[in-house]
Amino acid sequence: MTFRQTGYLLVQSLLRTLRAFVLSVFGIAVGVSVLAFFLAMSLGMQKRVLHRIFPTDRIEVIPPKASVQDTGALGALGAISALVGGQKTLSKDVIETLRAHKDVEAVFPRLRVAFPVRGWGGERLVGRPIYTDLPIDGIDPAAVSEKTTPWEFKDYENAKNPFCTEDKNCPQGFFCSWDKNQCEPPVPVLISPTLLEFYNGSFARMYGLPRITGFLVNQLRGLLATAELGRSFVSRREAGRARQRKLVLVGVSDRAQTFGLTVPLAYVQRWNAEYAGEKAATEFSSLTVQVKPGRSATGVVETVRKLGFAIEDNGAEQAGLAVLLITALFVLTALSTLAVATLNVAHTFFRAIAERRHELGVMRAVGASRWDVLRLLLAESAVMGFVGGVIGVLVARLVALGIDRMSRSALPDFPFKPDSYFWFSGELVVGLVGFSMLLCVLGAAWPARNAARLSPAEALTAR
Amino acid sequence: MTETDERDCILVKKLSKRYGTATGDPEVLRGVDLTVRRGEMLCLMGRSGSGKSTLLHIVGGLDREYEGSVSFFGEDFSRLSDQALANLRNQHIGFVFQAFHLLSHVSCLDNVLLPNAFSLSPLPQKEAKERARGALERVGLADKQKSRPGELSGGQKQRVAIARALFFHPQVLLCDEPTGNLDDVTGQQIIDLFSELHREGLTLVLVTHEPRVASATTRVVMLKNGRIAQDSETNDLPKTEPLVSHTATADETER
Repeated sequence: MTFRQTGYLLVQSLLRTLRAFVLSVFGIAVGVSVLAFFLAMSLGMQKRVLHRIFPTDRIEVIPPKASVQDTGALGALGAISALVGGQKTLSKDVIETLRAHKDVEAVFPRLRVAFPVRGWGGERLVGRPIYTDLPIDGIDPAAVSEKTTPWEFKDYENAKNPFCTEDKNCPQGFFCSWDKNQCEPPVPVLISPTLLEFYNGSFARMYGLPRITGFLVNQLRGLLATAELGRSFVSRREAGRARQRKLVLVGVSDRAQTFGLTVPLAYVQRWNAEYAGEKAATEFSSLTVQVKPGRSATGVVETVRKLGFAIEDNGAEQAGLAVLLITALFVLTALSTLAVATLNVAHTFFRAIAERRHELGVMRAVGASRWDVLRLLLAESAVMGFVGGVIGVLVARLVALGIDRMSRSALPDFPFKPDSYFWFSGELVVGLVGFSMLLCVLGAAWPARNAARLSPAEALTAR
Repeated sequence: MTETDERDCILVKKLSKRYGTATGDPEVLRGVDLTVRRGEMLCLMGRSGSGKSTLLHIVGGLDREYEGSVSFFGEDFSRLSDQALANLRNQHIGFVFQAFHLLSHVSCLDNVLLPNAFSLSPLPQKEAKERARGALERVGLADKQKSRPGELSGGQKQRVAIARALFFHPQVLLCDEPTGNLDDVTGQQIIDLFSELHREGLTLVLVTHEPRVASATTRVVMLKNGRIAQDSETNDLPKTEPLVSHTATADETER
């Protein structure tokens, strides 16, 4: 039987049993739409919200936190070993070991500023300067893939920088560092999207400040502030000689620390060496390990633990698990709907085949083999599944669009509020339609098999 | 291949058939031996339940549950796969049933085209349609190509069924009570059509209750209790006696 002939017989047959077809398709479409809705929401929440807050393709390695109180006997052993053999530190050797791991794409060291820093600025943003202590860390510029403006994210300190006594001696955009009488570009600074989200979702609303999104983010680049190294507004602790450095915001990157400023690693290494000693410049605070695309972080985590280090618990695991559990619950509900729909398909086919016994007998009489009959009936069920699947996905998509629209217009802004809570990926759509077809074929398999096994004579003489 | 006379078309040997599996089930056919010769127009007659329709189904390859042997132009049915037997039905055997068995949801032309849909070597669509139109023309229904079976009279439906049976120019036409659902005039037209096909060389096997159908054939085989009670050329039969007593209505379906 050719494809074209099968198609023709199929369409004619489905049109004839339109009512039963529509009812079965309705059941399948309801099940698929519920399944599509919750799966797309789960994917959307993971992709558009969770992955923004807790990127899953990277892990943050930190020094071990073993203590008697926290981790019992093993922790006690760790603590004793730390006292005897010294605390394990994140050195260059550890970086090389992790870089050699087969699932690791790259390893980027981070180093926190180990002394007080305070700063002020932000007039362009809020109309008056903001005074605050600044949590700063440094990261390898190679970790940052985003384009930065107006300055590149790199170390600009250089002994060959021109001499100056005040800013006006320096070229446009450069500032005079008075402690060493050199013109230098401001220290490039990155902030995290999370910080921006919290500013927009909480801070801006609380103080009636403008939200920073899209165009304004670009306007924000080039925003200048002043950092005073070795001094604090909140603590009396002082370190070394107070020095001022100009900071310039060059971009927003998820490589930046969540709450604070991130500058090129070399600045922090120099500053730590000067204000907190050489050890503070060489022992990294943490390592960002980027996992290769499509690879699992599990193996890397195991290696990290074997090396005696810990993984920073950012809550991603718990949040992911919560989403997974909720999704599983709804998916189970959808699957039970689909199971009922599949039984309905089976029932439809049992009834349709009983009604069409003579017709199937005639087909056998004029040359249809058992396989032809089986194929024809299964093709009918596959078409049923396809139509039900497509309608189900479309309905889910429409409901999702409605919810997204309502969210945009009716819900207030909150941190990480996404434009859409759903992610209807191509794989999901194809998978759902395929699943729907599979269910219908499975539902029709038993009645179709029975029909195919019937002898033509039995089919023709059935009352 | 079974050894046969080259004139033999269908060869049935020691054919027995019992419905169901219980030992108490009635035996419908009991050791039937029958040879249908090429170009013959054979009539199977008998009371209801005598096994004539069952015999027709078996020699047409519609029923494989039997004892004994059936061969068609030397091909033993028991040695053919389901696909091979389906192909044999498709290419070499035409069926006409009492209840017409047309697909009600497609046009007459598509009904006639149905064998092509299941052929292992289907004709190209254009050629197949030409042939189907020719077959409809042959049975006098050239103007009914697009009509649905529901729009036709009983006689017209049976003609469409005959056109469908003739699509692949079969070697044998098997007809089960072909006039059973038709009035006398229409029934006679169908008999005339069969006679015409017979004159053109087609082998026909007809199951019937009707003497006038039997009188149009060349040979009458009478079945009684699953056995052949009489096998004679039509010319040998007395013209005045009914060939079979009517104990069942024409539309009664037999096993």
